[in-house]
Amino acid sequence: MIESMEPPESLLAALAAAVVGLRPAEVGTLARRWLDMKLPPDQAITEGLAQGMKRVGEKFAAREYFVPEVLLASRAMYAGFDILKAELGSDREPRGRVALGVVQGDIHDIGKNIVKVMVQAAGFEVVDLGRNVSVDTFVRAAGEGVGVVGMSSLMTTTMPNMARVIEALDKAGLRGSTRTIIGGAPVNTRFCEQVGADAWAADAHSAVIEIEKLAARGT
Amino acid sequence: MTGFGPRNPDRVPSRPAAERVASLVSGKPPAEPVVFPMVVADHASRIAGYPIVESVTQADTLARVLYTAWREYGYDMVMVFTDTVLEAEAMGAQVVISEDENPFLLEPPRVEKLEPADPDKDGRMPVVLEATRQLRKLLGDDVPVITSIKGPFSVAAFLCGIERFLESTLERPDEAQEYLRVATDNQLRYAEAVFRAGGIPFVGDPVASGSLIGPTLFRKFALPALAELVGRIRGLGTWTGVHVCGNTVGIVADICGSGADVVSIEIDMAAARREAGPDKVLMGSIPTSLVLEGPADKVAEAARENLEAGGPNTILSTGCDVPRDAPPENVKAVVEAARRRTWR
Repeated sequence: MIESMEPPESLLAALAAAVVGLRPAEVGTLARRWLDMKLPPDQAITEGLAQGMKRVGEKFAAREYFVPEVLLASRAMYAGFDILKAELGSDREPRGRVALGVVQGDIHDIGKNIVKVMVQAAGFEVVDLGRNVSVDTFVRAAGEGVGVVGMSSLMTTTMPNMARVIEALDKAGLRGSTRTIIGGAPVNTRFCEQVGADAWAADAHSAVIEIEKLAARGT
Repeated sequence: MTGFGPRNPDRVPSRPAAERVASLVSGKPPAEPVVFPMVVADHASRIAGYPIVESVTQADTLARVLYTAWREYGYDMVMVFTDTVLEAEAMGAQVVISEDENPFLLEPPRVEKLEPADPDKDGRMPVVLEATRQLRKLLGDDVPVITSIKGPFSVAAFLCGIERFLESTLERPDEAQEYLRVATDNQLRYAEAVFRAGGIPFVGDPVASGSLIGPTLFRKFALPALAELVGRIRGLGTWTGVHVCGNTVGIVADICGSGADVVSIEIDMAAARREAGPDKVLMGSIPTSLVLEGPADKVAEAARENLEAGGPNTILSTGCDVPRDAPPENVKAVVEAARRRTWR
């Protein structure tokens, strides 16, 4: 199926629309068509998929979309991402490396997974540490050249573990090379200041914006 | 053991808690407000000095810690509640129970056969039922024992795996309905068992939270099942309540539409009151983060504002469970705020 007459811009718009429209199969088809036309895969990621995820994030913030819609949009985004990523040259530099995890004692990882897909779409490499992640695992990730460490907690009982990670990063002398960002329903500005995190975000959309700022600040 | 009053409050209401609650749910709000900060197994275990693992697996301990916390604080109800995943566990989902954390589900849950559990035999349902019976004995008729059960939507999500279930509501609605049906049947049986044990079944539906699903899915999936359960409970001849946490702006009237006598919410009380109308009994909604962080005078201030915003048809409470590590003086501040207010 080669429709080589189709202009790349309309294909990009179609990719974004299929992500926003929650249609994984269509995203896969469009991604393959893009590659068939010998167009650069990273352009389809940043100008197609990422634009779609950005609109999804905005709809989520505006309470037009909720978690089920975002989960489906994420799957749609990955349906294209996996196809396009396989064709990316190994010389392609990600915008930075971000480690994400849900802190110890907490297994609520939907939020973390949503942030992950948005951050990947924005061009970062994500090291997914999973859920119920120990302090040591976060510190090890930071020691392995991750620029930003993101922690999530959905419970007031596990929030203090974010402070423990930040303390441990401090002790390990990694605060200079690694920025920290925290999130999750009970997290707020006051808590962020209290534990000394570099940033916090109320939702996935603002998490991407904050991570972009942190990455731009560099080390 | 009845007749043992709470240890602390300086102002003991003139009418017993059960009488004021009965009056409130029958449309005649009592002069002395009903207060119940949502203290459940984890915080009560801290107060009574037991590890959580013991309270959530042993009926004697569960009853003892909840009774101890009630005596410490002197609020107007006792809620029997261990954790959100208890029902899914009884139906076959694998749960991790550790020393001092709330039990959680292994994901994805591997449920071999989808069928309702036997409340008298399966999982830890018997623990909750026995603790309910013991508390009824300990507290007599003066203090209501409410036993928390989960809404069908939440049970279905825990059985299926939350992400898979939420996706299925959009992609495979038939699959979602199948899980919901069996979860509803389970909750109908469990509610009846709770009632036979002397508890008032009180429905919490955390996954139906407006922070996870929007009004459309709430109305299509969560609400019909909730209404069926509430209808069955009220048919037993008792009042009941529904608690939905998170952002429920825009669906408070729907939750009221489930037929529940009491609607418990986490959102701002004034906003909830506007949606629910003046006569609905609302319960809530002091932020749990404030109860955790304090200071006590800020908690007291929030409690007073909450009560004024809700008016006489309000049960002064926290927006969700009192955090495990909340300082006791902050919980006391909630109770005292209610004791210092009389409606005329």
